[in-house]
Amino acid sequence: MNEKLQLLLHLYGEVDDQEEREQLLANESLQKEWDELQHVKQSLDEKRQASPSSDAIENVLAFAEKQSATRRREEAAHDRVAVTRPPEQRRRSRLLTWSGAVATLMVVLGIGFWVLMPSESEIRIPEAPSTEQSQSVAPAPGEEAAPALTGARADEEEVIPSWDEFDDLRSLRYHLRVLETRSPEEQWFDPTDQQWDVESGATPGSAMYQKTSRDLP
Amino acid sequence: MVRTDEELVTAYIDAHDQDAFRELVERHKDRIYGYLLGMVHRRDLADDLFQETFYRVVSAMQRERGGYEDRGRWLAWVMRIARNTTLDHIRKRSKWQDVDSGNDRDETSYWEQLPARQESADSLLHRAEQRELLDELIRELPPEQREVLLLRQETDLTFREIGNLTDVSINTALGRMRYALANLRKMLRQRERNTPSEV
Repeated sequence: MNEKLQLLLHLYGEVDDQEEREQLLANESLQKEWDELQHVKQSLDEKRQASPSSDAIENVLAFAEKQSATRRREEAAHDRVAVTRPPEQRRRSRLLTWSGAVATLMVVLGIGFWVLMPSESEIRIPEAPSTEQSQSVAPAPGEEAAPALTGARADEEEVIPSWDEFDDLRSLRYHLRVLETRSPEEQWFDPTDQQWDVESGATPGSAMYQKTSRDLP
Repeated sequence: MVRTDEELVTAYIDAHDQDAFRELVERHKDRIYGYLLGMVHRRDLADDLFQETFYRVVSAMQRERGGYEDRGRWLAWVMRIARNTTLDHIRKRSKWQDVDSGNDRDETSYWEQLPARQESADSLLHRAEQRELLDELIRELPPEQREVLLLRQETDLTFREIGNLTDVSINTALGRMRYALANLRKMLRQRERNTPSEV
């Protein structure tokens, strides 16, 4: 390095080698240069340093605080996501999560079923032929038998619901017997057919069936 | 115990210690501002650039430490930002040179520069005059010499750091400094000859 440049390093204290400096300053021209440079440097050192305005400093500090707060929030959010748990705790947490999801799903399905399912009052049950209707259908000759039947049905009314398949069958059976009584020669079915008597289980050809038919008016 | 710059930086970045950052600013504000003022010669502009510099500094420091990598020499890193901020301003200003008033002089009043401690009026006047004179002479230096002078004199960066900052070798930085001091010496002599009774 040039000796004059080396002198500058000594002037600004970037080299702390007394011996080298003395060697350099032994040269008369370098000594002269040193004196001149030192004079200017001294003037510059004495020049009081200017300071920024207090407003500028406060603005900078406020900005730094704001940025710091923003970063702190970001770090907190990141920490919440990145938190690591031991495997056992993680497994339990996963199990709880799934259980919670299943329970939630069941509750939702239950509520949905309850909301969508029509209530009992909304279900329209087709009206079954009432006892009175059955009587009106029955012809006059059966008037004596009808009250007896009606009386038997009246006893059952308290037990049997308003509409029942069994009730229908009984009604049909009644009409059938009435028709049979009216025109036995015009039976529309073949007596050999294995027809079941609903109540007794007897077929039209059996002795039990004949007995049951005879009992009817 | 006085904390180092690096300790203060770490306290601010990692622990969000605002006092640490305040201490950093207080410690280096005059150096940074001295360089900025020497470059633009106006207090209001220097204040703006000072703020802009620190906005950039803080933003970079808060970016996952990615912005601050020059470990161990925070001031050198800040001065690089201050220099870029100043160059940005100068480039922008040069675009508006035609409409500029040209009044770039530091018009700070004498009273604003009074030091806190009491000094005699003569001494104060002399110091103020000396400062104004030196500022004026520094302004007349070629830009490369002026920049190295301000960086070395005001911010206390080493010549090696100045070389790195200005993308030149240490020898070039030293050469520019030598010329700057020699030119200043010459100009001071010239002034002394012109006004021997005043100085």
